[in-house]
Amino acid sequence: MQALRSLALPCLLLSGVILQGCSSILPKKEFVPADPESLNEWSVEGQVSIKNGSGKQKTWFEYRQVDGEYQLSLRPDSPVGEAKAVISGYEGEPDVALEVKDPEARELANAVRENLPMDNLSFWLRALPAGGDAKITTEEDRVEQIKEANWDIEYDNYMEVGRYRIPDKISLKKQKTKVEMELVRAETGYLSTPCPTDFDVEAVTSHADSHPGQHYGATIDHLVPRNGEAPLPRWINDQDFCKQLYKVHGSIPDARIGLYGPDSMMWRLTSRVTPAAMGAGRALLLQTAHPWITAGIDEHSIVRYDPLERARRTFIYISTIVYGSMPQVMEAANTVHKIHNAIEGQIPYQAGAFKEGSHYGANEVSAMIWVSATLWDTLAKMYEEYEEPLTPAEQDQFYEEIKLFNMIFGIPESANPPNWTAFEDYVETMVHSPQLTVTDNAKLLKEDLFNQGGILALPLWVQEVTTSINLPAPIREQYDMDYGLWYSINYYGWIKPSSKLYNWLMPDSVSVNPVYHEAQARLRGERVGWYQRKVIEAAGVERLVN
Amino acid sequence: MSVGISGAWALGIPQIQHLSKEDFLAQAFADEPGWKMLRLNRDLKKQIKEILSHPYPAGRIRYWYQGTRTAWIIDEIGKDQPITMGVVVENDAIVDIKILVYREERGGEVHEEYFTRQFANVRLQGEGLSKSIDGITGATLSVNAVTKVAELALVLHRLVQPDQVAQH
Repeated sequence: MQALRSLALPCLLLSGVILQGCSSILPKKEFVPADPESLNEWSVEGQVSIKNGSGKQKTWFEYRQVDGEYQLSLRPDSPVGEAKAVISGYEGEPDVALEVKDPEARELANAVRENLPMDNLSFWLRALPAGGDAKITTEEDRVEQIKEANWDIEYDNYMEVGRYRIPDKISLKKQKTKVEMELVRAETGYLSTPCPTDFDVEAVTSHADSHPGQHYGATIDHLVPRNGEAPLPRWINDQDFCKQLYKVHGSIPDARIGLYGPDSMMWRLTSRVTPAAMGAGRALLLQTAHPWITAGIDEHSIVRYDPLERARRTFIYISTIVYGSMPQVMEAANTVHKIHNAIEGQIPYQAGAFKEGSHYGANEVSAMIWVSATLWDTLAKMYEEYEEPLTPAEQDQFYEEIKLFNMIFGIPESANPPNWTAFEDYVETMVHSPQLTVTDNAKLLKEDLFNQGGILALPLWVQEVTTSINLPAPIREQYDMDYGLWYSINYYGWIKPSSKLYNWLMPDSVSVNPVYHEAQARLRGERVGWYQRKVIEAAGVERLVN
Repeated sequence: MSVGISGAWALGIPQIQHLSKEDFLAQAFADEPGWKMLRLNRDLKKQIKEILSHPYPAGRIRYWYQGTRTAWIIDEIGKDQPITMGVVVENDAIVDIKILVYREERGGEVHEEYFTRQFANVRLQGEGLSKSIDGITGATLSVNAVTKVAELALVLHRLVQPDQVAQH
């Protein structure tokens, strides 16, 4: 065993080389930040130290601002947890209120209140001048220094958060007072509401059902009609979508943890890289067996000519929803909803249950439940194949979490199959229904996907073999995929064993999803380690859920 | 949900920087301009909301000036992502409008000169612009965003003009 373990280091180095390769395949996009002036709901957190003639104070803090009102929460003992003191006020105004929750924090809170320029901090934290008299030094569109109100503020480094570039190392000096701030993370929206701030909240929370005459039946019969016809479309409009977000938003106790958290089945099943990686082809082909999905890809997606870019964006969204804080989840959900709004059209040919010329759209309940089902049914299957079997209790817990995931896309809980058993029945029924009809375009998509050539030829062949072995037989046959002794020998002879060996050999830092590590770091109030940062950067973003 | 359908747009959207802020200001003014912050009071916020059809997210807008000329750099959402636009105004008329950063997948034609030159010499008239702006097929939301920002810049310019005239 020791000998095998000793292979871990060379393998780790090899992973580093592969990582470099990934970086070149998916070059980091040029980042052009939006104006931080337009931030209306935002927060930053990190550490601040204040040094002056009377001594030095140091504390972790969170600065949170919504619509001009700010709260500076001080946590002297830990980067996360309950605040010991809170200073609050309105941006640009000198008056502040101090609430001390722990008497031992009073001295610290007074020092912070007296020494930090609270009226201007809102602006300076975003590298913005507080007024018109500031002298600003910039270098390549980045503010390096602001001199204002007798303060000298220097910005040493920035972090990219969402659309924004926020300073992460700030030094403020005024006479004998020196303040150093090191920021760990930031949120750039969706702090107070899960929908855009200009959304009509009253309309969302008051209307009972925007689909009069339609009922969200939770039965498989509704999703897969027995007569073989297409299900009655149930479109998700902006209000339906936002209504579900409000339900989720109100049921999550800790915004920092997000939808799931470390005790969830979702984090457990997605944390290991292997099951998700080996199931990617299966999930994709199950999706494209649905004619709506293929039509959507044909008319609206870049997947045919840039599948890697497509995979990158999918990775970003799914990862953010599973691992993000609540503001991050809500931002991703709103973005995806808007994207889906634009995906609609007419089926150009008769395809199974779907008639030529019938309308399709991405924001529709039955189609979205199928897309979701392909992801999570595949993940559960591959997890059991590569890790360990799930108990019935674990399956039930996982399914409750899947329903939560679906609500993020505007799917009401009652529209889903009610439990894991019903969910499995639903997947099985779909596989044998004319709703899944592999069109010529879907077959072409499969060919494009698995026959890229170049350095991807071998990994994609491995993916093709794995997909063929694990696809339900009726779907595999519709795709005309090879399946037989040669594929079985390869899959069971070396592909599966070597993947399991990789899992066993690699340290968690490598074999566990980097976004999982990033989410764990967020829960500790820390920045994730360098290796995970590099892997996430290879996906084209500086940080995802930190 | 997106392995199947979506993801086709969104994060990792092309972020095309057509012009940096510095270059825009250098083109807008002969010498280095001064700058100020315009605080948005309740009435002004209401007026801006009517123009943009949504509240402006910040409590102030920064602008640059020289003589009677002002320049405004404003972000406005097109379909999903903010488009960064620069508008130069003088004598209550638009001198130039530029798309500095375009972040959407489609509709980027609004940065083309054949579109932006329509705004030259456009003024406020009644409750809108003095000239009807021709749209671009497939870029309706981006065209609307540029048109709204043009109107907003003219309104804001008019507000700060007496201030500037008094100083110069």
